[in-house]
Amino acid sequence: MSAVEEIVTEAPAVEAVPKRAMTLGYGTSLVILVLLLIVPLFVKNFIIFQLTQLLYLGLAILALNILTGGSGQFSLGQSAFYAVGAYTSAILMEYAGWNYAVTLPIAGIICFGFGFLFGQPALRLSGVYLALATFALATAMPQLLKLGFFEHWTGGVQGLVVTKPDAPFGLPMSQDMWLYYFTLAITIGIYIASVNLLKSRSGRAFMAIRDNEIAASAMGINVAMYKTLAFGVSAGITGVAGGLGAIAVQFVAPDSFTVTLAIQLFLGMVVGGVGWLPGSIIGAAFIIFVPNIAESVSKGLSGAVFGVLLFVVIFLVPHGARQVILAIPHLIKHGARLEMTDRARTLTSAAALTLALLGLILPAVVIMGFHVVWHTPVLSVAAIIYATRAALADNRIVAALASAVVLITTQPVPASLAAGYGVPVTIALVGIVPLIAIALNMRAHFVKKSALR
Amino acid sequence: MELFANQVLAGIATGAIYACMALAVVMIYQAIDHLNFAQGEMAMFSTFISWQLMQWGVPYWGSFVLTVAFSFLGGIAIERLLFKPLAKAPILTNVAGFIALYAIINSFAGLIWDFTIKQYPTPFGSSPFLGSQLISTHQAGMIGLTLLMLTLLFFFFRFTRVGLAMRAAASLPESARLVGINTSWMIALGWGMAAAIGSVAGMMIAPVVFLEPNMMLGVLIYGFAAAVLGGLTSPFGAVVGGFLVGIFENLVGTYIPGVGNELKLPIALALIITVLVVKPAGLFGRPVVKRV
Repeated sequence: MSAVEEIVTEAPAVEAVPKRAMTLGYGTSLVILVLLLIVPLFVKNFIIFQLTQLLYLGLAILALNILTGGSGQFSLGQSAFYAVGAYTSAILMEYAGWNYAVTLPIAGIICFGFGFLFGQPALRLSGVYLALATFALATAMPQLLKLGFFEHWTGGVQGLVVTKPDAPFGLPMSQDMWLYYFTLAITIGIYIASVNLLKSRSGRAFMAIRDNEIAASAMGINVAMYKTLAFGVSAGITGVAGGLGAIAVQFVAPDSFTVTLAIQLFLGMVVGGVGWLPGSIIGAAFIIFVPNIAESVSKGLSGAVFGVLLFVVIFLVPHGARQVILAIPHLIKHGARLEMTDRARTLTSAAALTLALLGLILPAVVIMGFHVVWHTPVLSVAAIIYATRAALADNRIVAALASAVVLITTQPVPASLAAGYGVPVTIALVGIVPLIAIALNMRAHFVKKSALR
Repeated sequence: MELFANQVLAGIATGAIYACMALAVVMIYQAIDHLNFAQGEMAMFSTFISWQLMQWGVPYWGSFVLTVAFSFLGGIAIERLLFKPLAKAPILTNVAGFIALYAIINSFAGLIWDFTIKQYPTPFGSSPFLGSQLISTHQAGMIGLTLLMLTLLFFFFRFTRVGLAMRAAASLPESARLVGINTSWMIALGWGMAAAIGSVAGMMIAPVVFLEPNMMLGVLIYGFAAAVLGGLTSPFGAVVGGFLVGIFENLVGTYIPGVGNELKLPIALALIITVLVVKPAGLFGRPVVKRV
């Protein structure tokens, strides 16, 4: 191993995202804002709670997005900052008796400091090593919180119970609804601030460092300063998200802030599209709702489902939700005709055939003493692939047949889920077909474009 | 003074575990210039396979050899199937791939062998070593095996053509390709070797920490701490770092009140941070020079 690294010719750690591509246009933003404002008026309290969850986890993912998509540094330690924010809010509310709204900026400031300090040693590492060091931080955090020394404040393993705030000024709202609007206001505020930050001088400095560190420092950017600053800002926003989370869940305990949370946030960022701020909400939706679906396929398999989905995202839509959403207008204009390469066609055919065969054989197979019973999902995946391929090739009869198989084989899934999820899950499963079509199409589009170059 | 000496000895014994893992960490860094998060999980999965083979009646050393061979091929297969297409992708994509692999392996191991803790046999026996109560024959055997692997690796990289080609492919891929080295296969080979070393580490560690799907999480972080301490560019440093981390951990536990078993991971974290701030290249690593 030579100790010399080619730094200038090296590809950047994170693919460069142009500044303009990081946000949404005004029109779209307004539509989404109106939707976010009126939806809670028509749904049940539990759904409102889940929407609140969506917002504060989205905020945490946004923070990671600023760090990774903006300044090109990785972190698998966001759960640690999240935990510090949550505990700061909870302790201030329960022991000092402060108002919940006042605790949030304090949580943000403390986490900013913590992140800024952690950013110092993090300067020495980049890429995968930084990811592993932050991973160590995330695994160490629950143990630190359980420490006897802090137990008086943190409640040790038991954690702390937080009281849920009522709507102020006698507003006729349930607690859940008030909390939702409160979270929404903060989320919008931070979102606008983040967009402005990335458009500002500091934001340009972040992006210059992300794209080429040496060129950035040659242009007079204080690399160390801006890298730690990015860590601080990201940790601060995560801290606010953590505080909101503590208020919404009404409970903080060390074991809710394990490394799993950090991995979920990272996953949310990749799914939403690295460097695309609105994608954070889509990523949050992914990490909230997908585990439910995964658990319904097989208990304890959610890790594997997460992993497989992550690989699917990496290979098919490396730009995450951004790519899918940007592909829609293109699809409407040009239709869904896919020019597949021969290799892709063979691969998908082979995959679909193997899966279909497995679906027929697996029920009879017993591996190491237990029956393999998930043949229906395997069949549906095969059918989904076939339906997608047929739809793309304008072969409507096959597409319709395969879609019917998808519908029939996916029926048990919504039925076995908890009440209230059945309909959206069926729609989501059937909706997978056009989504994959869009993804494949977009991929082919990219391939074609780069082949022309 | 006797307490001190005993604790150092005990530290060397636990340090052997970390040294094993750190060696695997540095190995894969040497071979592919990346650090594999799923390394620990791959080792855990290999260990489970050897356990399963033994349950089926294969003798220890037979299953040992089979498992190492399986891990080697498995490592190559993972690289060919999943990571070769990502070779040109940004590091972020690779990190996401490692995490995905981590989640998949962990989840499947739990699904196949469930999360109950299992006993794992040792080939060296567990009687006291040379009359000392603190270090058992298993731990002595583990230290011996680690040192043996280190020596073999040193000779492999230093004196064989394939070893030289692997080093070339890792440090300057373009130039290596120009002199006719198949860099793509060198990377696959690196994955295979790292998986094989990891499987040996897993089989040595399992009798101490017991076999279960999450057994490697703490060990991986300690292994990383050891590799950082010794210098990420030096296999020798990684082994020394492993022993030092073990000794350090034991001494801190003995002499500083209030530091119990539950503080193990924060100690590793503190160590990583201190080394990075004070001596970023580690004890034996060369500082990385950047060419503009």
